Amino acid sequence: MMADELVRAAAGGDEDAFAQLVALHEKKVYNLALRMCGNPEDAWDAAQEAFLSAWRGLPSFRGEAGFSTWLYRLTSNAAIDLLRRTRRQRGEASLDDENLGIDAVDRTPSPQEQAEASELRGAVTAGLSRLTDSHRQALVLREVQGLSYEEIAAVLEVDMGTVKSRISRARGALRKILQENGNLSGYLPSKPAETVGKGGGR
Amino acid sequence: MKPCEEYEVWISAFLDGELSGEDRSELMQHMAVCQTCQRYFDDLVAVHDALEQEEVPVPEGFGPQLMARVRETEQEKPRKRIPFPHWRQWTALAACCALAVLGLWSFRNAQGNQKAAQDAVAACVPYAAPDGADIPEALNGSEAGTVPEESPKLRMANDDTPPQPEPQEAKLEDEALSIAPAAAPPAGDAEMCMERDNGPTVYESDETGALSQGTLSAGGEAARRWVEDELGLDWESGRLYQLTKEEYAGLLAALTEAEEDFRQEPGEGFWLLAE
Repeated sequence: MMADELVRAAAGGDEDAFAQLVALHEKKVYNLALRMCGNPEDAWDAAQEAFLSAWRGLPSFRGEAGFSTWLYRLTSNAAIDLLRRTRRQRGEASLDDENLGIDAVDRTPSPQEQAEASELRGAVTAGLSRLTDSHRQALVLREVQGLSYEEIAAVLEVDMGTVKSRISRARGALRKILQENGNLSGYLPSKPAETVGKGGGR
Repeated sequence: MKPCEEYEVWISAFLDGELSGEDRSELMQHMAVCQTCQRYFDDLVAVHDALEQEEVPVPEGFGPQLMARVRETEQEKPRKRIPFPHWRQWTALAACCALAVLGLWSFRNAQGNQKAAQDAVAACVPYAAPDGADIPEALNGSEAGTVPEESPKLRMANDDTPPQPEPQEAKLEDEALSIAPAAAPPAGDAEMCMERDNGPTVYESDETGALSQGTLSAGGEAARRWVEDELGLDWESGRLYQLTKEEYAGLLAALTEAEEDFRQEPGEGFWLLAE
């Protein structure tokens, strides 16, 4: 069965068709939830909620072309709802107080670039959790899901100018967090700048 | 020469392959002579590399648990397709015209310049769909093509997640992105200042209807939420926030949608003054 047929069948209540849709999209949805939430437990819950929302809302859904866009939006919203509930339970102040999972960073550059890169990855993941929800959402959709600005605008229901400035602000904020934690000092990019720019991102 | 903060937005767009050729050339020329922007570029490349991680596999048992829950969950009944009411089109057009007339009046009083008001009228026309025409998907934002009548804002019809509450989480403080009021951009002239209490004033727009530069002063709930959500900064009364052109336009749209009071004064750059 083709993807659009699966969507139509699932919209008509076909659970097997929906199970196939889940199998097709679960990896993207789970990884998006993981980068939004920052831990596997919350990611599991957010991804489950997103798929359940999709199942409930499918009868009103039309058009396969936008199914993944719709699913990303449900996932992103589910992750944000979950994060807000969790934060309320923990108390608002805790976000500033705790270490947010950033491991103690050795400010002396390691001789092994591999180790440095791995350390930076950990710090970036932790830094993501300190961004505002709207900034993290835009940056994750771009950097992790590889969506274009146009696609992100469709997922978030905002215009492209807003996507552009949110992503830029998010990167600027992330850079500041990493600088404050000493993660960017002495870091050398692993590849020449030009190749990244010409490649147009991902 | 633009301030480096504007090039930061370009650097980010360049990394994503979303910068046009002309802007790209200008950015390259600027980076060739600006150490600060070169460093910023290198740092963003580092962050980009670090974010580039392989997808992790979905934990075992995810699908079976989900499908067990699906079997216990009823689907919602399909929502009927509600045509966009004609009166809404005309209400939107009428509101636009009223704003344009207000702008014309204000502007004639202020400078006797009719061009901006004419531009404002022209910029409003696309908002009124022809009678009986379908509203494009891009406008109603709904793949399902239905418009919930109870919602004042057109939103995804089958997006059944509840409206998001105002964010309460702690925000990242980023002093570098704003400056103290002492360094405020040039304020409007005396004549403009006298217009302050007479409501929003329409200023010059270019051929594309883009906003002129200036300072927007606001202090309502929508403005506060916008600063927290879009800039990721805390709201501080009296603080001046530097914006990009897109952010300025976005803020203006948010305040207009929320029907919140604000004032605009012409000047260099794009700014928000928190009242």
